[in-house]
Amino acid sequence: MFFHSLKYKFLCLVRDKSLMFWCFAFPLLLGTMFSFAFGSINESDSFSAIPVAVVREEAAQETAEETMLFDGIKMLFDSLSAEGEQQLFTVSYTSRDEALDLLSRKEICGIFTIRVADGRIAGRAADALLTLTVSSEMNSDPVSQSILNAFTQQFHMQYLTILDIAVSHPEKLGAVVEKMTEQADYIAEEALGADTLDSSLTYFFNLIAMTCLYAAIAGSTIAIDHQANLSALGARRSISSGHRLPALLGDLTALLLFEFITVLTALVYFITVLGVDFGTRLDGVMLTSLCGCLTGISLGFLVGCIGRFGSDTKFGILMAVIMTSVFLSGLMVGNMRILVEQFCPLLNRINPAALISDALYALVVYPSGERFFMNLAGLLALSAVFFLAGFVFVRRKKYAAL
Amino acid sequence: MSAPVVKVENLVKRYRELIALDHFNLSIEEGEIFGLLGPNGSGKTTAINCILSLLAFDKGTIEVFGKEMRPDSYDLKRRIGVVMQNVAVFDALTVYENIDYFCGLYIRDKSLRRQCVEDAIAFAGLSEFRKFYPKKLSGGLLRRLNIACGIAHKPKLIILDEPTVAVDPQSRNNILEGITRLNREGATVIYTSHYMEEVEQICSRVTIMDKGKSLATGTTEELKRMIKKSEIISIDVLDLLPEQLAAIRALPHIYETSFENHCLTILCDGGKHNLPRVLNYLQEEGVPFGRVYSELPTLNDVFLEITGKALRD
Repeated sequence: MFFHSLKYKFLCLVRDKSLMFWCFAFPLLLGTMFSFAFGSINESDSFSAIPVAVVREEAAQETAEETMLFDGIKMLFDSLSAEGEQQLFTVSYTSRDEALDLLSRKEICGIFTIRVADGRIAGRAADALLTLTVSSEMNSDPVSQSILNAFTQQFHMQYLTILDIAVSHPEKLGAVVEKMTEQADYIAEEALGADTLDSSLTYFFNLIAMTCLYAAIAGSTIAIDHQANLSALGARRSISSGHRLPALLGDLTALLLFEFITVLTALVYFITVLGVDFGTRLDGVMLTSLCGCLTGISLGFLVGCIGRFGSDTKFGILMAVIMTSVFLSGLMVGNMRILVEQFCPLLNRINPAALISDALYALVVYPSGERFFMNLAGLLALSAVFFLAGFVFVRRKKYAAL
Repeated sequence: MSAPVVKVENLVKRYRELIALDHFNLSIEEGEIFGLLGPNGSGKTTAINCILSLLAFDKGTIEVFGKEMRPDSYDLKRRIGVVMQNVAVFDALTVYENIDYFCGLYIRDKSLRRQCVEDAIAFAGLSEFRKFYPKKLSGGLLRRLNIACGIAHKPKLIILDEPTVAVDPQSRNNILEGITRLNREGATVIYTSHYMEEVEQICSRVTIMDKGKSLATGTTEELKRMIKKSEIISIDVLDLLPEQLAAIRALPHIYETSFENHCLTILCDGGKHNLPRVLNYLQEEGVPFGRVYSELPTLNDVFLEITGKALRD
């Protein structure tokens, strides 16, 4: 009975065009739209090195210490202009006039002036050592100017440290500068875990959550089709000679299989076609998807079991629940889950979409599996509650009215 | 004598204030085609659902094949086939797959099931449509598929709840012939309908229901004998005097006469040769007449006389 029901339910699901659209095509369409939208955002956000000029204000007489100080600062700029992911500047060492000319022609965004020759090293005012000149024109690049300002402020703050090391251990200056550059975090977001996190990835996490929860629609149909007081099919099944549970479990298993395939298809599409990076722990992503599908099915099953509303009404209720769930987990507004966490954290513990999304997030961000497994446990607990409540209704053997 | 296939005693089913079944009794013997006849809302489907243990009832007992019928009486359910009033098939499965699915709820052996499905397809005349999806079938074919799904496992008791609703005459005849054939092959049939012609055509015994009560039970002939009216004579007459109408009324076995729109209608309560006696009188009086009709009473007349209303009111 179990496999007989599984086989035919799977056939029914595969041939249901409406279900195929909502479960298969819609997530792919939405994912493609996300990809286009975030692609352009990422392009506009992509960082290119800021062209700057470095001018040395020379004095008639310069001490050896001052020369060493200049060399130290030059090493800093050389380090920041070295090609690679950490490159912050493209540096031109020029005279002041030449630098001003470049700035006026907008070939550079700012001029750093190094003034080392005032006869004093210790106790030197930081803002006198390195000054920044930027264009005051309205159409100059404000982001680059902000970064230059931030860098200058950071330099001033760390001046004494750099100064000390430049004087005492100039050979270690490069390593220290590199460390400080990382801390400064001008251009690169530091991953907390094993992989880097693209900010648009959270939308795809929520899209996966939505795909999983769409299983609820077919889950409600199964509940309706197994109850004599809700459908003619339910009546026909109720009067058959077998126990209802194997047939019901066969249907639910077929649906879980179908929905899992839809989510895997979406994942494969997102990864291979759209180039979305879900990290290296794909087994965890699949496990989350499976648990998410189970929760979606159980949610639909429960709604399908409760009340004697028509299937259209139940479909409407489920869509409202699913869309609210994914809204609160951040499908439409990226930081919604964080806001919910601040103001009503319990909601994130019982919101299936938030649990799925957070499990996927935890996989990418946290190397330890604690948070990931906590989310999975939440999903399984929700599934158990939904299924048990649904079975209370389905197990009825006689009805007061049909 | 073997126990009745279905025995219902004092069945009471209430929906709050409404009494759907009011001390309803039923006894169906093996090999019968038993008709449950009544207007819409008379309690036919409620009675069937109670017999199938789908519906909880307030009072009474139900036995099927001599055993109490319970929701978990799977051994009894295996011997019952049901064709519900509403078509219950999967839109996404073909004709063959639908029948195989429902047959599979009763029969696990695949080869046996395959044979049963083929037999059901042949029985319902759906051989040409085995790969069709239900949406591609006409109303009549869909009803036949519904029946095939209900009887594919070769049940001993077949319950058909208004299987011919919204079916064209050709499909209706096909369905009725099929039911008779199933009965000939050994199945006991319970057939509910509000179409008295169908019940008269195929049922060996009939219970007439109204307002949840069993009003009368018997063969169609027995039911007709229960009522006063045994013959209705209609004659086209150009003109008739009141005295002549009274004289006809006074003839033996005639209990009611009327003359409207040049049509003389005479109701007889039995006896023989009523028509020749009336025609002789008209000839003797020199009353010219045209077409003459003589009709025997129908189950509708039985229902009308028992309840005071027509079956399709």
